[in-house]
Amino acid sequence: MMKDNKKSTRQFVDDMKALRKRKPDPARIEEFNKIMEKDEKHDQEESSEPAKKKIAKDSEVEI
Amino acid sequence: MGRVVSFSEFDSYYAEIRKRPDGVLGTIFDTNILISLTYEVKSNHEEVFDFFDECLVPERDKGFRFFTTVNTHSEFLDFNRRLLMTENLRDAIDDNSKWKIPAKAKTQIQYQSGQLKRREEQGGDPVLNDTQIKIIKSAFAAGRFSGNAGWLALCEAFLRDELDETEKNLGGFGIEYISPHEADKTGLFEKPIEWSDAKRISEKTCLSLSDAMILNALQCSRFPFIVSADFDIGYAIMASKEMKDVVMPDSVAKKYRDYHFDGHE
Repeated sequence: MMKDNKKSTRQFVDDMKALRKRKPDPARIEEFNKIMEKDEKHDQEESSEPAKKKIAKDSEVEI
Repeated sequence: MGRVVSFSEFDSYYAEIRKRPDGVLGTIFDTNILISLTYEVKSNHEEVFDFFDECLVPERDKGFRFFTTVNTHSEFLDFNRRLLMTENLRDAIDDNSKWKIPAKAKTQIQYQSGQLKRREEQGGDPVLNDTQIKIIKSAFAAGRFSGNAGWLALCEAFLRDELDETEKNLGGFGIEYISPHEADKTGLFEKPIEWSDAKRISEKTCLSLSDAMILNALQCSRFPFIVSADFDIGYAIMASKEMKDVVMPDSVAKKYRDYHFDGHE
């Protein structure tokens, strides 16, 4: 590789920084948020379901 | 016997070794040097940047080659993986963020970020370690309907293709991955890399196996020196009669003044 094909130190450091600072794709954020919304909905449905009746403990009944 | 050469001594050192009949083909970079160069938060960033800019890059442009080994290459990628995850997670819980991070995970990210502040105050990097990342990961999964889907979506958003881009940047700067197994690189080695030699290097000063592998690669190569900011690397080099040299930031090199090894004044 010749000199003109290689980055300067400044360019290399700036490119590495730019990689770190790159914002995630909004479509990925939306995808993630949908997953979280489904979770939330599921949690709400679960908490609004009537509590299942517990089997009464009867000390006289042998299982 | 290996020498610790400070950045400020490099010009005269390099002028001397260039006179060797086989010339100077290139050097190996330790992970910490690459991190110091590319991560401006590091305290010796400016020192390392100037050394590259003023000493190494002009030589690179005349044919001097830059290399990473399997260890330094993977460690550098690994650092960037954790750094990308750290900075993205912190942004994701920001007040203005569009991410809907669940409360439990948000609490954990905040807590682990607090730990990083303390680590930074003690001189460490403000970057999540793998133990912390595992804790955050489990906060996303535990008890949720979607299971791991949320965490996987985050990884996709934060990391996908980023390691490829990191490698491309290394390549664009002229840093090559060296392997004795690649046909076009065999000429850069004087002898095969053996595990037994790495173990002996490790045993000599209780050097980590990872660092011993890096030094072993240097020993087997035709390069006269490694560039590192790791005190243990310099210590191992000074403690052994067979070792090659290490070029280090002055801020690290001066720490050896209180250490006396046979053959060193």
